[in-house]
Amino acid sequence: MLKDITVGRYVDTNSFLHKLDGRTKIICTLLFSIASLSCSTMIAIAVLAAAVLSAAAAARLPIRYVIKGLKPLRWLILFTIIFNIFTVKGNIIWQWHALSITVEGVSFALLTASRFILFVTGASILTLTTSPIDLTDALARLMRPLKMIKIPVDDIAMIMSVTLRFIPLFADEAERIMKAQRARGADLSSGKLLSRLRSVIPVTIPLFLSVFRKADELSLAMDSRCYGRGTRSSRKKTHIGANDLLFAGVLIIICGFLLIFEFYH
Amino acid sequence: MIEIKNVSYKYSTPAGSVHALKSITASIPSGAVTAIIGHTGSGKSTLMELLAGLIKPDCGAITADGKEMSPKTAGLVFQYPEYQLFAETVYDDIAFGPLNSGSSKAEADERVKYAATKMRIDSDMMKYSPFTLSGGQKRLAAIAGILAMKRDILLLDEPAAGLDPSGRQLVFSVISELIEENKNMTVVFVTHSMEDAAEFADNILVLDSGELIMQGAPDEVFSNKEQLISCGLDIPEMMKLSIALCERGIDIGTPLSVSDAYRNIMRLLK
Ligand SMILES: Nc1ncnc2c1ncn2[C@@H]1O[C@H](COP(=O)(O)OP(=O)(O)O)[C@@H](O)[C@H]1O
Ligand SMILES: [Mg+2]
Repeated sequence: MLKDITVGRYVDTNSFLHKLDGRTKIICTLLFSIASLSCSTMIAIAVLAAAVLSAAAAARLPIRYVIKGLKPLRWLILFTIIFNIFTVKGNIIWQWHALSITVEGVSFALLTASRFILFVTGASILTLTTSPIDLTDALARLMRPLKMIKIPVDDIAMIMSVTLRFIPLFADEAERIMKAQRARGADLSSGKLLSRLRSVIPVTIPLFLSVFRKADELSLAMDSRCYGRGTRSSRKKTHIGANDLLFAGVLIIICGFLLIFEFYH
Repeated sequence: MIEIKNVSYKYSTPAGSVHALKSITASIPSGAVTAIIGHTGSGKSTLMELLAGLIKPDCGAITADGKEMSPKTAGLVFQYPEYQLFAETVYDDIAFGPLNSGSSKAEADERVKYAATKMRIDSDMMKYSPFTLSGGQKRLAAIAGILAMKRDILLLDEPAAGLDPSGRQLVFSVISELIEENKNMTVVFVTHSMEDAAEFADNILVLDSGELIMQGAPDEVFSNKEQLISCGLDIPEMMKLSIALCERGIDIGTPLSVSDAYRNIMRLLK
């Protein structure tokens, strides 16, 4: 279940999207995130959902896989929906003592959940189609201007991409420890919510220890490959080409139309 | 007796689904040792996890004496010990199973000592973090963690990988001790060594790309040399030697192991 998490994972299908320059993809993801977090109509949501699904298809990622990536977030999404449904004031459609559901609450809840889903899916597609090395390079190159004011751009880029890579690592480790404990009779996935929560504790301590150990190994591996001694040269420099401009152009047009639409709505 | 009926299993991955096991039907006898052989990626580890009840078949069923498989009845030693160990000390790791199955502290302690003695883990090693051990020591600790649960079904995925000759000897002598001590014991192990399968198993299952292509006693299975070679396997070295000798007119029969060969040769010399 946890291993379904797609944010931070890279899957090489060698598609059109994989070959785009990392910078293009980062900027497009930012643009897409801003659009999805700020849109306010269900029509805009539908357009952005269509855009993100076509991107997944263009990346030759099975839609089912991308959607499954949201499964671990279902409780968070459900919580947001419930929270909004009961707290937003407006035209009451159902009431029971102090609890009430309003039309505005329902539509706001759906909107918030959709925004969140779009945001996570967009970010997943960035990491699914961009290898960690390309991602680090692209971040460093985007931040290059900051080098002039003595900001350690390369290190920051490395930290950001390592952090991103640790998300699936964390999920995989949790999954591994849970499986190892189940093999020894631990009952992790049944019973009441409380007993399930209690059984999470024996998983968390080994999880943190193990992730720290992994981090330690990673830093050793980076040291042994002389990270931090002198300037790093990237494997191969990708360039912004016609495909990049096309991809970014299409996204800018979509977002532009949405902006105008939202403005006049 | 473990009955595997029409079992299939698929993994879903971003690149599509992987059909790891295709309609397997087999039976694994109690009171005996069964070996699973097959090329890398043939589905051996998947079958072991199904036998341990850690994953459920997509279709078909696996039962032991009529009951569905579960970690409460079967103990699986994972292929990679790193995958299995998680506690802060070797002692805690071995004690995890017994404490989970409702043993008291004292009972658990007794079981830890029993398992550690069997796997030659000394009291110093028990205090270490399992992750600081050597590869071979990790393997022994992982096996001890499963032995401590005292299940009647013991599943070992490549138990001898990464062990030195004495460690390998130890693993297989523990297996035969367990079978002798407990008549209900069922042991299944995965191996890449045709010699180990021939010498230590009473029964062999052969997997090829997720399909079960043979099952039977070692001498039956290893008599299909061509078929084994065509799916990336082989016959034991001792058998090859006896075949070469036979071609030169010296017939020592078809011994599966060195001890078989020794017996046959002594008989011939008499
Ligand atoms: N967690 C997994 N996710 C996806 N595919 C897997 C997973 N585990 C195993 N497989 C695939 O299933 C097949 C059988 O694997 P496995 O049972 O580990 O084989 P063996 O142990 O015989 O080497 C292989 O093709 C492998 O790539
Ligand atoms: Mg395996």
